[in-house]
Amino acid sequence: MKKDLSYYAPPGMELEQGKKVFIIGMVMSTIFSFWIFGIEFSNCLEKLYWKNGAERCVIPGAVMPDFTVILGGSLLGFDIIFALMIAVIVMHYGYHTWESKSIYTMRRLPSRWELHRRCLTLPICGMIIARVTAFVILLICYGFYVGLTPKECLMSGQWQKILVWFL
Amino acid sequence: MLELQNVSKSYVGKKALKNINLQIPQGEIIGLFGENSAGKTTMMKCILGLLRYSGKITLDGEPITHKNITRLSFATCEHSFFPGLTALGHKEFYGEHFQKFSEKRFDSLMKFFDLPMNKVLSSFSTGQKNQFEVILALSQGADYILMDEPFAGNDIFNREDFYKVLLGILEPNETVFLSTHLIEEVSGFIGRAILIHKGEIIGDVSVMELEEEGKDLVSFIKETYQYRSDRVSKALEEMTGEEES
Repeated sequence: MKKDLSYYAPPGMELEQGKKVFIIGMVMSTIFSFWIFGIEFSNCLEKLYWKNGAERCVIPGAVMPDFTVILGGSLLGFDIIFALMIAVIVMHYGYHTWESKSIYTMRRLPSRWELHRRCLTLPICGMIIARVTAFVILLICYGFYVGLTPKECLMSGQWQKILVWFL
Repeated sequence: MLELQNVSKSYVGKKALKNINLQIPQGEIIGLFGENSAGKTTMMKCILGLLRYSGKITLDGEPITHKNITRLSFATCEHSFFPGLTALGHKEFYGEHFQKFSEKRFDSLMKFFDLPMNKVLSSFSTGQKNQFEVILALSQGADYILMDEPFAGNDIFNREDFYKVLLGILEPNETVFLSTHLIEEVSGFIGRAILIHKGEIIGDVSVMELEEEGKDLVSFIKETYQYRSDRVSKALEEMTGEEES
């Protein structure tokens, strides 16, 4: 048997559709994250300045809200993908009992982990990919946050807050 | 030798198997008969480890685990193939997981039953699905082939073809344990009949011994079940009588 993606899915399960949905979901979530964060961040950034003619000056004492507050629900798309992957696990196990009882075959295999390997591998990979991508996007957004916010407006202890928020 | 010792199985509020003791040596074709809900399927599922049970089931003295499970195969009317996989995909899957899988037997049987190799199983007719289920069980390379009413939905011609093939291809070490309601049809080629009723074995007889006694399997089964052939006419009489009065 070829060791392509189907090797890690229930035998005979249609994968192409799921793969497309996952990729589209990831792209949409990425766009959504940057878009929502960009709007919120630019609004907050704008509030730090006042215009002195053509010149933009930082309002004395102005403070940029915490990064986690600005980030808000920007990464929601990845949370949805994570939750969907749990549904996929249920679907993978269910596949073995819906149209036929192929669960009997899976449970008779000499390799006792075969059933779980085929039901769990791809959704768990999907969860990890969603989580890692969300974290990378968070880092990029944080880069913008730190890089574009005037130093005097930044509050300390952002990282601790981010880690608590992300985990 | 497949051996069941004091095997019992209960579902909520119901005893499905009651202290079953059974020995199944290699190289026999055994029929398992019983009314609906008698415990035939439950017994097979217990042997395969698909259900929890109390008692002991051993294969050549060893408990049945993942190490020796490949010595058992299973064909069921519920179907245990993968609906989205082609016949060819099944061949590859079985070849990968069952060391003794016989590609030659698989190919021959596919050809004999004229089944398509590249179509997914969900597109097969019910009869074809049953045939394929049996083909997989026979090709797995198992010593004990358990079949649970594998022909439900097949026509008589299909079934007769299958019986002929079965008799022709079985190796001397292969055992078939066949649960079916089609007593008359299988009586000609089974060597032993086991009768189960409400979770208990009520008869275990060699067909040859029966023949020596001048009995046939169907009569023996009816006798053992205390089947009352006159009950239909009596019931009809009663019903007709009620209408008249």
